[in-house]
Amino acid sequence: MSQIVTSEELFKLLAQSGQGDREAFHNLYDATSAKLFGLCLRMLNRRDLAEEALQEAFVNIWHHAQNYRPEKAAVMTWMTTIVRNKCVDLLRVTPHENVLKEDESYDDWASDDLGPLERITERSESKALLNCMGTLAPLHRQAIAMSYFHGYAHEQLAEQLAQPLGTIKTWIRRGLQSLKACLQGGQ
Amino acid sequence: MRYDNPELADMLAVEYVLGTLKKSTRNRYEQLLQQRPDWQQAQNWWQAHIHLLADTIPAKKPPNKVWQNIEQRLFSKPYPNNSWWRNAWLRNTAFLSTALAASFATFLVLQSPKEAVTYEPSAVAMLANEKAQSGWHLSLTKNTAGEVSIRADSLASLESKPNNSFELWILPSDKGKPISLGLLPQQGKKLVKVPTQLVALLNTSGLAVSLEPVGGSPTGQPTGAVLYQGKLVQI
Repeated sequence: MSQIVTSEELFKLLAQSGQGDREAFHNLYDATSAKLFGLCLRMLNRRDLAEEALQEAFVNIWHHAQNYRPEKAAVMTWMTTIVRNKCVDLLRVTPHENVLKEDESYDDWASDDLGPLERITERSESKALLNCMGTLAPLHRQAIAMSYFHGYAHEQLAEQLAQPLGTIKTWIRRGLQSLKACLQGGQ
Repeated sequence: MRYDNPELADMLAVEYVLGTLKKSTRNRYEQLLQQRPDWQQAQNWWQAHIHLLADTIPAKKPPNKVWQNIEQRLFSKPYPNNSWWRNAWLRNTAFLSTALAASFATFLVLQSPKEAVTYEPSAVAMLANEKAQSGWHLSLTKNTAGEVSIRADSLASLESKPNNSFELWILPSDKGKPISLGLLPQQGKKLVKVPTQLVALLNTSGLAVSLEPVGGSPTGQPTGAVLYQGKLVQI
């Protein structure tokens, strides 16, 4: 992103978009699309699908802008939810061999060094999350990252990571409990 | 009670946010969520935090065509999506011929001697719904100053919608955006002025009526269902 837009500014742009203000919607797109497109590329691993997901998501965002409730989620969280849901939908209907390649199976999340990820992360709350992800057992955080970035259900994770289903469930549960404890401890 | 266990609330919430719950579990969760503020709180918390993972991904500017497609989808084609208007149009052409026949019949009835003096329509239309029930009879008139209006007479078969307004639209034949002509009466008659620059368009375009919030569409484009359609026919 060329410039960091504050969440107040994003809220204003989204509220105006909800009133039918096309210029505000264009500005909202300019301010957020690069970050969200990055997420689409990461999840779908294919440019054409990522473009489709982003496009569909922003059409949804325009139509639902007036339903946004600030007390439930920050603007970026709300938009990310819509974009990620679109990506998950596309993953479900796209033949599996077309997406995740084996050599890209999120080993960066299993590695001991999360430095490369940290250099990308801009917001302080995201850095806090990354910090806490770093305190988890590598396999736990890899399972969480694969759930997030690939929308894998537990059964699919068990298959991908060649582990019994019970083990996967334990990893995820323990991983998420530690993550929450760490994030709340740091607040 | 099992549902009071905060750990359970947490695990369901985060899996709901991740989208990994089975359908049956998800449905049950959504039901219970309505009655449990603690669950809603857990969900908001996880939603706010888990999506920070997206911030660890490098930003990448999308190609310009993505925005162009979005703009085209939203603003230069009918609202709310690009197939909606066309589908409504195709679906309804079946009853158009019936409606046209009815239109001429009604026109003849309206031509009582008294009416003929007050206005002389140059074209008429019958707006009918999918069940081929007529809502309005329209007639195109011109006053002595040359101003064109559509006179709309609501018909007994019109199903009134007291909590909404009916809005009349021109549907350009080139599939361009619908153009509002104004609201139609729920009962009785109304004269709808046609701006001069739209008069020529009326000859080639269809007409449609959408259901809108009271006072008309807030967006300038149809937002509700298309209930009635028709086309002006020269007489």
